[in-house]
Amino acid sequence: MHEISLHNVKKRYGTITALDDVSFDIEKGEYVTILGPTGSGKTTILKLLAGLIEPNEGEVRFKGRRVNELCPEERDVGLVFQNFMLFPHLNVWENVTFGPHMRGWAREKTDKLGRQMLDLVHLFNRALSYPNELSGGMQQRIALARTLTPGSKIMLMDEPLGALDARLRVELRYELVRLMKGLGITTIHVTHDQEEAMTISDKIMVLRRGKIEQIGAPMELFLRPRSIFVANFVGESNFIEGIISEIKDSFLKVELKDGLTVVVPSVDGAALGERIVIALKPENVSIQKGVTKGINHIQGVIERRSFLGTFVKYSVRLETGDLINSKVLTLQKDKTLEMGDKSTVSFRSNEAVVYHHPKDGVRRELEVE
Amino acid sequence: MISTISNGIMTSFKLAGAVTIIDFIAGLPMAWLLNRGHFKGRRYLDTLIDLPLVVPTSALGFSVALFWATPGGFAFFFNSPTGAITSSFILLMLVHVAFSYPYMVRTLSASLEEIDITYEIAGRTLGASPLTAIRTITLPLFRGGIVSGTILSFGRSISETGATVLALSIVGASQADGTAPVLIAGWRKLINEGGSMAEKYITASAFTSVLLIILALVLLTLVMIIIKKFKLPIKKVWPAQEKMLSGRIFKYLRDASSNIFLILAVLIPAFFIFIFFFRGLAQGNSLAGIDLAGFLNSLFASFLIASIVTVVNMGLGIPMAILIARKKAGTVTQPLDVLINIPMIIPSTALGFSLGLFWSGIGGGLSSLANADFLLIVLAHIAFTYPFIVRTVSSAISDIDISFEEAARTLGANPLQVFRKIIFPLAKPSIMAGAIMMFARSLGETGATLAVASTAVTTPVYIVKLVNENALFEAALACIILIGISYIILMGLRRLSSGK
Repeated sequence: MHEISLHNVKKRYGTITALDDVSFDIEKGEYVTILGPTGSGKTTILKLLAGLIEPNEGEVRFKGRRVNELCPEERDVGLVFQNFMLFPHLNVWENVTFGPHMRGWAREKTDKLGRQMLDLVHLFNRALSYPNELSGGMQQRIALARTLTPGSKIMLMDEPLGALDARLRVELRYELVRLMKGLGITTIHVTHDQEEAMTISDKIMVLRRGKIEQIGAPMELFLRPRSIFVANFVGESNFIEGIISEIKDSFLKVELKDGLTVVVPSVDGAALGERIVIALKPENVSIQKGVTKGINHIQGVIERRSFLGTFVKYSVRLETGDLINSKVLTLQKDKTLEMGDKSTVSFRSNEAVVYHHPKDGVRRELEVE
Repeated sequence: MISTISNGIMTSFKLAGAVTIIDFIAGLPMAWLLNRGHFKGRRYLDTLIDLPLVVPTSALGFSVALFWATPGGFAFFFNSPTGAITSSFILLMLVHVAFSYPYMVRTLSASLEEIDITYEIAGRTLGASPLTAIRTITLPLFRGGIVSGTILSFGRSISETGATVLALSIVGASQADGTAPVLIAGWRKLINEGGSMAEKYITASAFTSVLLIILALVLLTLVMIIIKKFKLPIKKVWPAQEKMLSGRIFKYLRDASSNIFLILAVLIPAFFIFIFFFRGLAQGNSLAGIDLAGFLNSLFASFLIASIVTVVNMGLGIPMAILIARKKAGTVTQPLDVLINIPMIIPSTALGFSLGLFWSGIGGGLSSLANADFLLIVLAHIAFTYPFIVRTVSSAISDIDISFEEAARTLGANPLQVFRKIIFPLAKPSIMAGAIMMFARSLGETGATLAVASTAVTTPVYIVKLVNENALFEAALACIILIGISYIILMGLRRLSSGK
């Protein structure tokens, strides 16, 4: 039985459709992140699961049981807020034991749980402090402990690291996973930080305009994005448009704008003469100085070079007029290329992903609104 | 004499205490409904709450008393030969609740709006039922609002003179049974008439005023301390019972009773005067005997005073508000902030009496000037309306991010330009709200006016006089005209504040 399911859920706010026929299943103990641009419906899913709103259509199920009408306090689901929402008039101990207290649990049980959870986040020594006396990172951990004390087996987190400094955010994300996995809790973590999603999730759900674009393991989303949007949102991509000039086994010969041809893997339903879009990760695009010939070699001029630390990113204006990015490990300092250098970019056929041309154009498809 | 004074003061405090408690109990669910309720017509309800504020208190008191204490009012439905309410204390309570209730609801709901509802949601996801979440999370965060609501409600009740005098006249009770401000107003008249007892009445008035001020300050300080220190019974939670009380039926009951209270205890009594007047007209009461010139003169005086007071206090109050909001007075800011409130909590009659003594020394000083009474009234009204503008504007300015000012300064604006181009436009709604409140308070005030100048005739005083002469029909007409004109002016001000 699935721990959490959404079944054909629709949610409208007035005339705006926040979720449009969304279905998914999450298994017990999984750590799932929901990734998507602002307004894609991420928070709406959390609110539906927490019982703060009801769907217009469809069902929310926990362990196969319909819970649409259950109010928040009856669902036994923890919710962590972006701004922590620690009660300012209560101290750390009172905050952390709030849940057990509300359930009217016995004193010893409450005390034991409070102690246990504060130990787990290493903050028992701050039990008598008030929230405004704590740093952001501490507040975050207290908020987590507070959500854990009632012993809920489902945890929802709405951008739980969003209010923290960049460095702390990276540190705490691993602690989050460690805690949740250690307690066997099923977690849904909403974020718009794709790096965060990639590093900690068992599964990523990419949302766009109230619909699920793709659900899968991080690697799968990165290597086999099912749509142009996912290809660009989970690690950026270069997009080159062309027309199929030949279909051979599982490969296509594609003619680019100035008559150049490249060879790429085929796509279901490919037809001769059809417009397609080729997606290439910058990491998979190599770059060499001067003119070299070969399959999938295209000439161009370096327009911009940006140093990213581990990588150097070159933006190359191709003969076809397209601009293509190439990320190269910084270690290859021996053959540094300069702006304005004539150079050749190349890629391996099976590292390209091919899509049918979207009817509204590539640019529209990539919009994050 | 001493027993009269102590009775008056007792009545004042008992009344103000009871009124504050009723306002709070009835006002809290209403504030909730206004802020957290999801229903059509919430905006209309919001306007309805404000409606009694446009009725000057003496007109409102007259109307409420007519409704509850005359056979033609509430008792009409029961064919009773007397009014529904015969006890003067209960009548005064009903009168005071009607005019102080909007202040309580407004303050509570403004303060509730500032509390992030996410705290309550966090509580719910942690297992608290709606009622428990409100009790253990929102209410403790809400203490500031409760304190200001209490101060306003209590202060309004303990100051009110005109409405009290009118209610007492209608129920036929002796003015000596009234509240302390009523006593002072009565003595002030006797002082003016001179005679051997004048000196004694001055002493009595001064003594009563001092006592009122001291007791009001002590009591409100105590209330503030108690509310701040008092921990709601948070240690204990009754999950099952509180869950039941959060249920749909109880919610409906709560909402329904707050609405019934608003309609029956505030709105109908406050506007009953219209029914009273038109019924009188239908029964053939003649308008011929009305002293039109006298009334128009009083109307002119009232509006002139209210306008001068509003303009002067805008000039005096806004700089003070900036001073407090931006903490420009250094260590003095905090005490200054507290001092500003004092005219709000001490009875306006006592304030007026004190001001009268200060400016005129009764018989000397300013009163040797022509129009001295007029000047004294203006000065008294300036004093007790001052806190309204400072309070509203300073809280609005402290909400304006100082970065806007800093940005304007770095772009080359001088402090005056910053005020004109940045602060004023952003704080304009609050400045107008402050102006509206000052105008309305000045227009409705009876006690302070009578305390500084017993011979002056502003419209509230004129209405009191008519009622005392038992000219109820004429008084009703005067009230309606006053309500009508203040309504037009206040709506005009409101439009000004919302326009560009």
